[in-house]
Amino acid sequence: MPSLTVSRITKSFTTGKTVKTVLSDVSFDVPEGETLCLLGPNGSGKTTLLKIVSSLLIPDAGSVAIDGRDVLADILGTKRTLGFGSSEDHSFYGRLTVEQNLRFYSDLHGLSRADRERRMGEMADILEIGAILKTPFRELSSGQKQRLLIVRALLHDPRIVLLDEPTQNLDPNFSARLREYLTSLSRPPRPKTFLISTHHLDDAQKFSDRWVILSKGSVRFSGSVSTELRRNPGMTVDDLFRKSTEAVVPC
Amino acid sequence: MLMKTLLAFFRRDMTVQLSYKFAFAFDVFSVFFSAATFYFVAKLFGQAAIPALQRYGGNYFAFVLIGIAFATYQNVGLNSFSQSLRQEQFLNTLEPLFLTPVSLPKFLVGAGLWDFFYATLEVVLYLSLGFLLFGLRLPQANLPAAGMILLLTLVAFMGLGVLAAAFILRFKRGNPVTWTVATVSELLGGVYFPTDILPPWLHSLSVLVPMNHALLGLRKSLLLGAGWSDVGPHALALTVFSVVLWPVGIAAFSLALKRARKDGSLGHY
Repeated sequence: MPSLTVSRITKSFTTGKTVKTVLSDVSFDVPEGETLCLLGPNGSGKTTLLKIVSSLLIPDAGSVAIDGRDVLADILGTKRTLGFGSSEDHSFYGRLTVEQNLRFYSDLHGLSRADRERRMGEMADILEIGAILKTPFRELSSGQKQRLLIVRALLHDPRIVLLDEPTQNLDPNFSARLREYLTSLSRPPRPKTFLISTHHLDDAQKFSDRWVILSKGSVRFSGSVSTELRRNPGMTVDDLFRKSTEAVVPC
Repeated sequence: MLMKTLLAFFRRDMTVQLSYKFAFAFDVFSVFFSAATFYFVAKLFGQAAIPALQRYGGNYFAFVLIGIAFATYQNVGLNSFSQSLRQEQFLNTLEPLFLTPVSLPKFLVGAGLWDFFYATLEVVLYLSLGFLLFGLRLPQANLPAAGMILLLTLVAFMGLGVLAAAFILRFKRGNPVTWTVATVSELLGGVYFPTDILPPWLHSLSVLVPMNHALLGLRKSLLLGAGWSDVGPHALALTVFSVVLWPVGIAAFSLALKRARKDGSLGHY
């Protein structure tokens, strides 16, 4: 059974008398332990889709299910299962230290002190937050804030992790280490499922072979990149992305 | 888990508040100046105000100090949740909060906990300054009765605050609940003068104001040493307010939250 199933999601926003359709009939699934990259140019609906998957937004039509269970039917259960690293890198309390911020969120997730320290200890080395634990959040660099977003998303050991532009503001070396770490988390015995949005082809290629390319709110490509390239000799990932995101001219 | 969640909010808000070094000092000065101002107003009235205050022991300073001290709870109740919500929206922390498995009632109570504690410190400060500097004495105070009225007051005002927060979540600014309750309570709440001096038709409306019942109950128990039978009607009124306001507030907040999750305005401010 797929871990995460997105079925026929449609979402519009209304501003005054203008209705803008942001997502239209989007469907895909991500089996347990797999990583799926959500690609698309800015404004293609990636972040909106992640917010719908996380239950922060309610779709106009369609549904999202985890292990076959609708995320909106058990919102508190969904929140325990999901971790969401948004691209909003200021979403912490500036006057609290990194440690105080993480303690606050771990308490809200119901982690015991031992669990919190174990989780933070694990990630402190890998995501290089050990040295900044006592630093007020407002004094962090953009890269450090970005790392903290990822730590918060993983803190309660969720089975499904949504990451919106996770390598934004990170240097190439750290991005590589992050990819390596996330890959290690998708392996048994407790394989995590990742849905990662990015608009960087390089990043996406390194994260996963399975892509969903969105353009103007619709799925333009869904599947294995390597299979697609094999099927179309001479085609590059750039070609695939360009072809998928080109404006569709109505006949 | 409930205590852990509430403590997490409390610790967060306390740490943030204490990081503003001068804020507490300014609050202490504000309380002092407010208490001093009414001490001199009471001196100015002298004996003139006593006839209208006979029911409350005849001392205007004691009457008004209890009024302004405990009115703090109404201000906190009306503003705490909505300000906390706006602050979370401003900091972009509202969405991460709603991604944690914290139920709505826990979130709402947690968000206002520190402010109510801080308001209690202010009330203690008002009364302490009154005792130490301005000759306030409450020899007959019935503290258990006052404590019960205070508890019911907190719960009722929190209910009002939840309703006010629902409007903030939906409309961002312009809060009819806060405006209406604050404005009506100025006149009918009995903070500065006993509502008995109002024209009968206006006085009868004061029955509908939670602040009026809170202050009547507190003044009767603290100034006159009134027992359960005297403060009972006010306790009952505050209970009715809570029983009505909490479910209405939670329902309104749930609706506002659902709407925000539909139109994507959860983090907007």
